[in-house]
Amino acid sequence: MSEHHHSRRLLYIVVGILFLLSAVVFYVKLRYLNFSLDDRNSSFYQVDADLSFTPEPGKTVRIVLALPDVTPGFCYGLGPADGKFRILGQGIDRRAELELPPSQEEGRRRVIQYRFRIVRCEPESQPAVPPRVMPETMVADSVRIAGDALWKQADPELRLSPPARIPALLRLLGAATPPERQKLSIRGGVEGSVAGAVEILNRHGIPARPLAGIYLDEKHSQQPPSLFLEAYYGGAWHVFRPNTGEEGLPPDFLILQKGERALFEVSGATGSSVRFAVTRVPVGAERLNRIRASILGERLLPDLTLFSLPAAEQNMFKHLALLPLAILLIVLTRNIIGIQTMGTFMPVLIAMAFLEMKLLPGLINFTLILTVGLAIRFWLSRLNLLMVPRISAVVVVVILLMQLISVAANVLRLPDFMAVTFFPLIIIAWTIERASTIWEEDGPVNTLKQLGASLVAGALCYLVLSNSYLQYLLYTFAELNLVLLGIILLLGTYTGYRLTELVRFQALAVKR
Amino acid sequence: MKIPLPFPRLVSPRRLHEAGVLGMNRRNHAYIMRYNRRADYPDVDDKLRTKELAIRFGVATAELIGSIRFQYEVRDFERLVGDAPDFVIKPGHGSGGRGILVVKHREDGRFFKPDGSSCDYDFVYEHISNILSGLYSLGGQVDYALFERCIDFSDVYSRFSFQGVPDVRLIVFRGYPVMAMIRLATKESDGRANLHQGAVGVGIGIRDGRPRFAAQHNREISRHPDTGALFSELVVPEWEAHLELAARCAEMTSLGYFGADIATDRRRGPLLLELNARPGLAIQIANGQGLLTRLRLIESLPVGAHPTRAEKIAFAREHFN
Repeated sequence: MSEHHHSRRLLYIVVGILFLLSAVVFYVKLRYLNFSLDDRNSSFYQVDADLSFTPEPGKTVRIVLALPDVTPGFCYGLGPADGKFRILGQGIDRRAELELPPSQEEGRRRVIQYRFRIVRCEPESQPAVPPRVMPETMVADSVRIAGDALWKQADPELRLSPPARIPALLRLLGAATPPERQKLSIRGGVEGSVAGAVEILNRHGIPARPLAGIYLDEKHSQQPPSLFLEAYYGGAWHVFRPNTGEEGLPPDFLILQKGERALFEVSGATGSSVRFAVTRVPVGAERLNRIRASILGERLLPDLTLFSLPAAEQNMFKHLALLPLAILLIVLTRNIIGIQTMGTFMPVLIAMAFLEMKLLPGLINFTLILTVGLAIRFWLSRLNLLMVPRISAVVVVVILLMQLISVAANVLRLPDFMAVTFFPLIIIAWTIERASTIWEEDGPVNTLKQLGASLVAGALCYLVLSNSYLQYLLYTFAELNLVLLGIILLLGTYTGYRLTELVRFQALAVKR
Repeated sequence: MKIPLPFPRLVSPRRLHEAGVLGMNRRNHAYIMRYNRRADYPDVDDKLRTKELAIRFGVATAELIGSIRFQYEVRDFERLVGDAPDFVIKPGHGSGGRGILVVKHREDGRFFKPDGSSCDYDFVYEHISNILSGLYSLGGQVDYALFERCIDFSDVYSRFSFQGVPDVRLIVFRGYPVMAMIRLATKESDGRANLHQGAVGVGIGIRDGRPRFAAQHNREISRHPDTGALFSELVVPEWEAHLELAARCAEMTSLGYFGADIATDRRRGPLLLELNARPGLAIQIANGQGLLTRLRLIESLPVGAHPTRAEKIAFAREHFN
């Protein structure tokens, strides 16, 4: 007994320390380091451009990367200037350049990272810069004929104004088959469409140029650059989306390059490509970094906060930042509400998969896999297999099922469903196994009840995990997790009734 | 299966507490975690160990035939069984009656189950293989198969049960039997004695082994839904022997809080079926009474208040009606 009281007192002390520590760090961050509770205006974007290429042996590699031009609503700051890159040019032509000494190693792929920072600011109106006079370009006759044919097709009676004609042209180019497009441009895909449109428009007196940039969202950790078309008429530049012809720039789009020059150039190497990763970094954290850097000296010690990690890793940690909250939710469902889920943390894991494919497609996918998996598991049980081979067979079936769903989703153009691969494979196989034994022992009603409870818990976890403000809060103020830890520890000694028991034992209270 | 209303009526926690109802969290934290050491769990989770302990401490159980641990032994299971006309195969680490195969008699190489159906050598072979692979064990760990003789179940309960063989569950706390019930299968529970599947729980008074209350699906009930038998007519035979058996169990293991399942054999009387280190809470519903008051009473006793088994039983019979 006394030992029990002792352990309880120790627990209260530990929890008290956790709460206090968390409160102190939180207060210091908020009050003295200017961290903001508001997740909107107090952060900047950190963009990592990963240039990968295979150097040709014995040649100097020269890398040129276009830097962001002024995009309304964004200000930009330059990268960490680690001395490697030189900044050249001004305005639209501003570029970062790097030369690498020749290496004798053959065929080893290299990745060079360039990091820059983008700060959102109030949009200011900017005078439209009229186009420079376009030099007459020499084009082959075949290109000219193919272009004129398309131009005519887009506007057969030559009556449309540019705002209507350009989208029509872009749609035609988007729908064109690769051989048709090749007549206009040697480049394929969207790049070919835009290049073709630029060529046609320029020759017909509408100054046009391609526009390359990236989306400032954190959904994709490895984002390729996106292309748009910009045309000048009526005294202003207008932006159009290739393929659909939709006018206007999407919000959160950052322009990196305008005009014919490539977004990046790598000479002395082959197979070069660029990918961007975007992270939003709270400003307070940045300030903290700077203070720490000035004390410790930037060169002596690398930065110790999560914010100094590469953008892709930071995004991963942002997902993890909310896990403690989701886990607390599971503890609440089981020990306070008293609902049994199938597998303790299975709901959290499926919720993380739901994050990749949105809630409804996620639920549909999960139900689909579970139904088919269960059907196959029942059939397998007739074969009288030993347990490990049987579960392994279920795992294989689940893999095939995921592939099938992915392929079907691709054909049916349901991109959300293609993320089915994010489901935790082994967990699902075990869930199927558990569900089938419960089905055999306790009947289908109990199985469906437990599965339903797991799905509801998973959906709840999803709602928590997908909340961007909570994510911001728990990532920026990681010390709040200590509070969650404390609450979980306290719940470990909760000996009161569970909510479901208030129903279950009703008769006992009424009687006496 | 009754589907609860969207907003079921909740009873206030205070009233539950006043009624002495033990909740799952308190059971786990204040009783199982406090009185059952993890190291003692094999005493009840490992059936062969339970059996050996029972034999050593003079607790009557079904007769042990032997056990099979390795796949290559499975082939010769008939040699292990020998001349025994009937036998039961159990997973050594099974729970909740999973994976138990009962063979009532054998004829021409066929094995007859209690319900009259029969199976062949291959079926039994498969079943033992499944047990060894851990199909029925906790956490799927590798297991062994335990062979014992069938219990010749007394038919005193037969008119109170739809198929199945009823057994008495006694909760034993620090050596005192504190609460008892008998679980009776129904058509709805599919002949099984699981209360949450619709079996009837009849609360049995510790004092005299006679019924006090009966409940199905958390509701009071007076007649068996299938056989129509009045539960008030039910009598547990050899009740003293039941209490004695339960109290002996407390001596063979250092677990402080456990459930003992006891069946009645026609010739040998009460036999221990198995022990359970995490006995469920439904026994309160079957008794229409909370457990907590009784557990608290035992906890309030000074250490060594009743040094002998007989004194503990006498105390329990006096206080737990």
